[in-house]
Amino acid sequence: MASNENKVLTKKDINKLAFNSMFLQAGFNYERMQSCGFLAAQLPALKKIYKDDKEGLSAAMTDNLEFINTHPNLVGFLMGLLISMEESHEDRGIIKGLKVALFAPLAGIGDAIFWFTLLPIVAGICSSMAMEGSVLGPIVFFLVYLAIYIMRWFWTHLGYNLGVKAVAQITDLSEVLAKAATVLGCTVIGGLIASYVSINVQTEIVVNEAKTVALQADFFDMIFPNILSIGYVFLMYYFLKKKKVSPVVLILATFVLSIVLSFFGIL
Amino acid sequence: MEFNAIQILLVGVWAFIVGIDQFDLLESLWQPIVTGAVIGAILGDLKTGLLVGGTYQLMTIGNMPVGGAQPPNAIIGGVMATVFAIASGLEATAAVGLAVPFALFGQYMNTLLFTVMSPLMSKADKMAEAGDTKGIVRMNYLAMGALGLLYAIVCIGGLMGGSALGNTLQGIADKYGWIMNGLDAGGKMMRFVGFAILLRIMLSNELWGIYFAGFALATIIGYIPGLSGSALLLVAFVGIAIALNDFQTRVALKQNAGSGNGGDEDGI
Repeated sequence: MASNENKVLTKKDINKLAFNSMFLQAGFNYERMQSCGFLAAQLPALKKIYKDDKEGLSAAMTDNLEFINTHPNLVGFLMGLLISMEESHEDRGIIKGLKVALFAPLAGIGDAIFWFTLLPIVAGICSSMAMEGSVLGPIVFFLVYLAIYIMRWFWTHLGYNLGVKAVAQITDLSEVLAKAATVLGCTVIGGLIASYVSINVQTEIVVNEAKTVALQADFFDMIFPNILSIGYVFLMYYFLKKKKVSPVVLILATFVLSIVLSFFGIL
Repeated sequence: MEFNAIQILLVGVWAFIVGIDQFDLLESLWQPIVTGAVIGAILGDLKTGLLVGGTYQLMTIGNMPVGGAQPPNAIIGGVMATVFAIASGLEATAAVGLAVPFALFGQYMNTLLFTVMSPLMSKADKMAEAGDTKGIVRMNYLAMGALGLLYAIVCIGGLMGGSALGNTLQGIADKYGWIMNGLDAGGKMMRFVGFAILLRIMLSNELWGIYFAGFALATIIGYIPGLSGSALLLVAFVGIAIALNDFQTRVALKQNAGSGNGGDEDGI
């Protein structure tokens, strides 16, 4: 590890790095994914580190322009970590290797926490508020995401301060952490399916003059409520997972199906 | 229903911002629940905007841009749904259903843009080689601006087209009730496709149990009057308990395994 004399970056530079991390996906494309933004965010710090060393700067730029796809909310951690290593002039191979080793686990943790867990919970609750006409729905939603956004400063400083020490911990814990987040996510998805009455069959079967059987109330709800909802999720899951049908096809098929069923008065 | 120039301009400005926000900035403004409310407020009907935004948000859970994949675009879908609901007075769910083809169009628009952007990377490589820091930053901002502009144009086009369709749509809705009813049912069912997409990624064999537990718990709470509104939050609390327990167990297992045989023989 390099001594403190090599430190050229101030707290302000790290703050700027965290701020810049919000443009991570600006130049998104299918060849390198987030690489353009990943490099652009680090440039002010890199310039300060390499000063007149054109060759060093160009080598660092070339490395950071390679393929990367990680989680925008957590990327600050990775940037802070890498910048701390650039600052102490570690071997290029090690810096590059670390980046490649870490971006995917970070993406995994981020997806599990932010997309699979937090979004269903927050969106589920806030949508219910909005659908009752409350402005609080979008406001609460916005505030939660603002808090996540502000956390970027924390992640970036954490990555910068922990430096190489963090690597072992991340690779050790990332799997466990992602797993735990997925456990929570699965519980919530199960809950979400039951939270909104979504399929209501209108068909009534006339048995005789005195008796009609309403398919929904007298049959499906008797087995258990929401049976059609969870059944339809299973059907979609089966097509996606086992038959590899594209989601777009399933969305269109769902609409065609419901319009046809509506025509016959079933839905 | 006619919208005035200021409204059209504001919709364009908002579309420019959220077109960028879907990948950069705060990454929350573009979500239908926020954008629906804002577009509703601009078009003079906040209440409908809230209703459509909430409905669309719920439908779109699961259709997420995970791992670089593009789902049906919720910005264009959300804006069109709000315009349909306000200009034509459609039911929120039917308006959301009607907006889905536009969301699919938005999906292909993004895919196309990211493909077109790919060759630019060789130009970026040259800049990196030359140490041209300004060039990289400029390219990054230009790409962002192009994305925002594209969304502004498409959404203004959608707004004008949608408001021109206004009375015609209402006529169709009155005449063919079953179509609107079908769209309404389809809009409600579309969220199940989203859930299935999520489950495809998340569900490993040992997680089926708690998935059903979550379903059962929410069903039970949903049938208790006075609690049904908080069902999801309560389910989440139970989920947190299970997740914490799972986390602690796994960490303990890992530590034991480590001390047992020296520790550093495996890795990912």
